[in-house]
Amino acid sequence: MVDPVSRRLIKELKDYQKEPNPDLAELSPVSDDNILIWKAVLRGEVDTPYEGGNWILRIEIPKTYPIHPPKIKFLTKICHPNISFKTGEICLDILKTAWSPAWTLQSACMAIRLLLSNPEPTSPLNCDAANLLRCGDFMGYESLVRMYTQLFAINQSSEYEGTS
Amino acid sequence: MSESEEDMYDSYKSTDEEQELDLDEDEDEIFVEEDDTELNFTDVVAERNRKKNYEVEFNVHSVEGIVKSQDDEIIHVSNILGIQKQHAATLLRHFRWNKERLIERYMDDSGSVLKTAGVITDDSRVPKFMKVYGFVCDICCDDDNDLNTLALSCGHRFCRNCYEHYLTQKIKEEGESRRIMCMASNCNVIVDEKTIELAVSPEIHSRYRTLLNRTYVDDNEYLRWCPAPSCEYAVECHVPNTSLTRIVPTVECFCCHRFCFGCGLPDHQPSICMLVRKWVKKCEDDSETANWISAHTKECGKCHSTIEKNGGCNHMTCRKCKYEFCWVCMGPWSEHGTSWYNCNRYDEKSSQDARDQQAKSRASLERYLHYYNRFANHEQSAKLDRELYNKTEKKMEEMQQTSDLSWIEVQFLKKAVDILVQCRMTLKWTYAFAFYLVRNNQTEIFEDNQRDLEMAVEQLSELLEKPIEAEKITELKQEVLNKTVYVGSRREVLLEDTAKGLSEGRWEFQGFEELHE
Repeated sequence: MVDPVSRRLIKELKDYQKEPNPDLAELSPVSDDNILIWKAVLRGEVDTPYEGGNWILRIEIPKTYPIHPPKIKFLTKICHPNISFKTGEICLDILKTAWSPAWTLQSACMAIRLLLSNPEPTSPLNCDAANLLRCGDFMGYESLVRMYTQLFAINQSSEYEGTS
Repeated sequence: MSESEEDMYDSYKSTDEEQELDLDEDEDEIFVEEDDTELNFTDVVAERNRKKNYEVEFNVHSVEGIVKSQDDEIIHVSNILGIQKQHAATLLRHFRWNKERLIERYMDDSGSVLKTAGVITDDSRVPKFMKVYGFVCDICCDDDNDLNTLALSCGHRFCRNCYEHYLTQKIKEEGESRRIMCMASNCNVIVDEKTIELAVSPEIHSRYRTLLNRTYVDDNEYLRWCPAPSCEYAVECHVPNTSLTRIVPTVECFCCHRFCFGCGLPDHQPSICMLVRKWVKKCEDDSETANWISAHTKECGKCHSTIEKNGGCNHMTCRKCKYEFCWVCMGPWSEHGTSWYNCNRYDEKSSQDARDQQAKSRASLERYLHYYNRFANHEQSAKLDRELYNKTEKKMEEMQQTSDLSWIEVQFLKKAVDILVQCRMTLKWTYAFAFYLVRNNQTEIFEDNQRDLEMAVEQLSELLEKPIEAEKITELKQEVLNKTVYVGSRREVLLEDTAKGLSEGRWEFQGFEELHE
């Protein structure tokens, strides 16, 4: 008998495969052996400094999913006030206290994509990026983001790096 | 004046005298009545029961009492608004038990209030478990036909298992109780207590009830949990936060723990909360390190580096900028000629300013240390006096054996130790109070009261430390009893005066601009 977590994840995978999301280049388990570790590839939004970039996300799913939220982090380096440049950790309420069991991995990834174009500089993990926004230097912020997008997220192999 | 007139005058006079006598008799009677009243001790009792200036009225509530208070308020609101009890409870919790504000807002716009509070008052949708043919749970994707499902008044239906897991996690792990929402995303309907009771185990429901009781106390500004470890009582005291600059609301729980209702710290009369916070911070952090540095070191007149003197010679050379100056007067060494070790230059402005700064700093440090040492000393003494309890127990047993005193009759020793510890704590905080006090005539009175209490406390402490001599037990008992009463009354005098001064705004504190606005 399939356990509830696997049943739910299989349904989510089928839903994504049946109706692929153009903003999410990929969403699937890393290997067939372990359904609790997934990989997602996020596409940068048009008309934002992230345009043209592809970012790989690593998704760790707890055994208590969907009661508890998944752990999601960026494997591709990204410059954003609410994302740690070093570790790829994301500061987003829906991945912590505001999580609801009705959220899916796809909706969580879309919330992260939305965060990219709507940064929250008051609770930063990347202080340098946040300080540019705080002092109103939007041009400086955008050019910095573009530079890092160019460096790390454009024309990079979308091959999954299993290392965390 | 004719005879008849004289007679008439006499008769008037005698009548007056008689009246006077009558009055006297009346007065005598009244006096006897008063005397009689005194014999009944009603005045004495009334005086004893009169609320002192430093006392506040408070009530102690058990968990049962708290539950009853909640239920009473829920029923009251439920009746006024004409809604079910569980909905009234959710609304009250949303409004943090501010009944008046809830009723006012509800009467203005009930729809908006219900929406923001996450309540749907649809009596036809009572949450209950049911089996729905062909239902697939969105959470666990189970589609079993025997699946027990549950929907809140919002209509979002999920299986029983998922609800149980979700609620258990919210209650047990997150400690949430007041605002547990529907599992559907973007739905803010609150899971009410009836539904929770239906969906979770009795153990989790009990935890949920405990958390609800906690939020009731935490949300109410006139209620506070007793901070003593493992004490489950809450204290109610109607002293608003705005009054904390004029009163020290000391309350006592059933567990005998005395604490300040304003800040939750142990009893700190006569010092107000704001002053206590400032004093504790001053003592805890290294705010006095700066004072030490400025009292024991000097700044180079040129590059302002901090220099500590490490030798006897007063001809100093700054290691950083090589500036040469005199340690005594802080003036440039070039002005000193040959007088190497003793500097008699007093009038030069540059030297005087530097010396004044140094003296101020040293005086400030010494002043702080004066009060801190006494504060710390009483704190330490109170700890030692608490250890006296063990000795007192032995003494009490010893007394029973060496004299014909009963257990009840030797309780005076325990009472004396109690009063002693209490007075030590009061004395301790008088030094924090005095540290911030601006010196004036009122300060003199305060310090006199402080000195009297201190002397009395030391005398009582000495008495209690004395070894027991069998033949002098009666004397000792009398002496201890007298001194205990005296110490208690000295404490009362001090607290009464400081409390009165606070309420009248008589005390002036330095560094507390917010108190003088």
